[in-house]
Amino acid sequence: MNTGQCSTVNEIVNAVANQLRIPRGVVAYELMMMWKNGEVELESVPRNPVAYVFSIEGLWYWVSLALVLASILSVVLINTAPLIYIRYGLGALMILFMPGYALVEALYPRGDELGPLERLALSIGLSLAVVPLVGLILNYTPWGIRLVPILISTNALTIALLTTALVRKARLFAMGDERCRG
Amino acid sequence: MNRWLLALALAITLTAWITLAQAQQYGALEAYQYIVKLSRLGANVSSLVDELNRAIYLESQGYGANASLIIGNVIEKATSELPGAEEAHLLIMIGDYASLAMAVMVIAIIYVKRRELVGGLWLRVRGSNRVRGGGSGKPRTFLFNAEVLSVVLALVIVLVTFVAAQSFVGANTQPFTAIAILGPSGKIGGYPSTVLVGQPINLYIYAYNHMGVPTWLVVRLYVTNNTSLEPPLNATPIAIYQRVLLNNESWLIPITITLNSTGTYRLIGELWMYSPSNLTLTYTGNYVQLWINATQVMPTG
Repeated sequence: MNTGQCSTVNEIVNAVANQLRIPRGVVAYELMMMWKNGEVELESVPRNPVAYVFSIEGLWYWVSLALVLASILSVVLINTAPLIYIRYGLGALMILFMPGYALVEALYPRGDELGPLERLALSIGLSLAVVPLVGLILNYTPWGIRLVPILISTNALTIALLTTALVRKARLFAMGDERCRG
Repeated sequence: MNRWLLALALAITLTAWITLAQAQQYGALEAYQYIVKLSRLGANVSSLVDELNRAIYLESQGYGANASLIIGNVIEKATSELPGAEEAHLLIMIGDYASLAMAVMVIAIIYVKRRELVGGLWLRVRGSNRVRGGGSGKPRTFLFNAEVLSVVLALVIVLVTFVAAQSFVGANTQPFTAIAILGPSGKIGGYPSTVLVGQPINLYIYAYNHMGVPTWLVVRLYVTNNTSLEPPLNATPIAIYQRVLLNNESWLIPITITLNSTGTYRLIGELWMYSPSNLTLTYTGNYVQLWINATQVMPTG
């Protein structure tokens, strides 16, 4: 994996799996962890913002959006046990984690500015700070602090922050350079 | 001789009437018992409760024969539903345990095979990507970091413990019944304190069942000028209202009373119930009362 001499993930995984006689999945997992820990880099789609949004690189955004939509649907549709526990889980995630996570992603879009644990702690802490502020603002609106206004405002804020993070990440992605020649 | 015959005929009629009334009461209680049993098995007993309530109403209006027919019908329906309900209850219980065991097994398999599963999935998505050395050296993972995972695991354990405790506590909440008196508009407030003699007073009695099963509630209404008696009163009520309420169901009873002489009166509503466990009429310990002054002339100001 010298600079400029790039193999594909499949090639590396096949070579290592054949040499060490271990399952390809296990090799792929170890390679993924090397990538996640910043030991290697992956180059995939063309470096432009649109490609980022609609490729695997932008998957985090769509998964987050799906979680937001699932939480809204669970609040609207689920009222009784046993599915109510899904509503509890998604509700807790949407109030205690997602607003802060979206804010952290928007503030630190590169991904390696903070350690994973710092990112988690900040996500929970900022959620606890942001959600009461939303409640404070709602208190001075005609709608008040009720279920529907809270549902709409917190999720709208989360989506707005996630979209901001997506735009910033897409720009950073487009500014990166392709180093592989092969 | 004729007198003796007349007395004998009267005695026989009275005995027959009492026996019939007792039989109807017993039949209604038997139907109530079946309804409670079905409800405990998780069956929908709304229609049976409606029918039993109709029978109770008809019996209170003196249509005993019609009430008996309905009660017989309820018992027949309930006994025919009982085996199916027991079977369904058993199946649901087995299904719940099987689902739980399955979920535990799936989680265990996923944990043991996590490397192959996650790696295989990642390979499908990223297989064609090109790999180069010279990364930043800083971790960018969120979900695959051991520290993050340990914190998430701790949170999940706390959450699951809380939810499990909540579901156990929720299933065993203290059963209770409640009674309240509401004003003329059917809401709290607006109670009359001073009324004219002969003036009709419109109020509402509110009853609520949270016994976990349908419960036969009986409201006994008294008007007394005795200011010191504590319920349950040993007197004849001015009205008795009774009905089977589904779990979490409330019941609003409109009442109209008239005070025929001046003085200070207490309107007392006692809540009794046929216990779902032993079917005996028992005082719940809950009552409501309203103090009312009856005067000939309304005070001004």
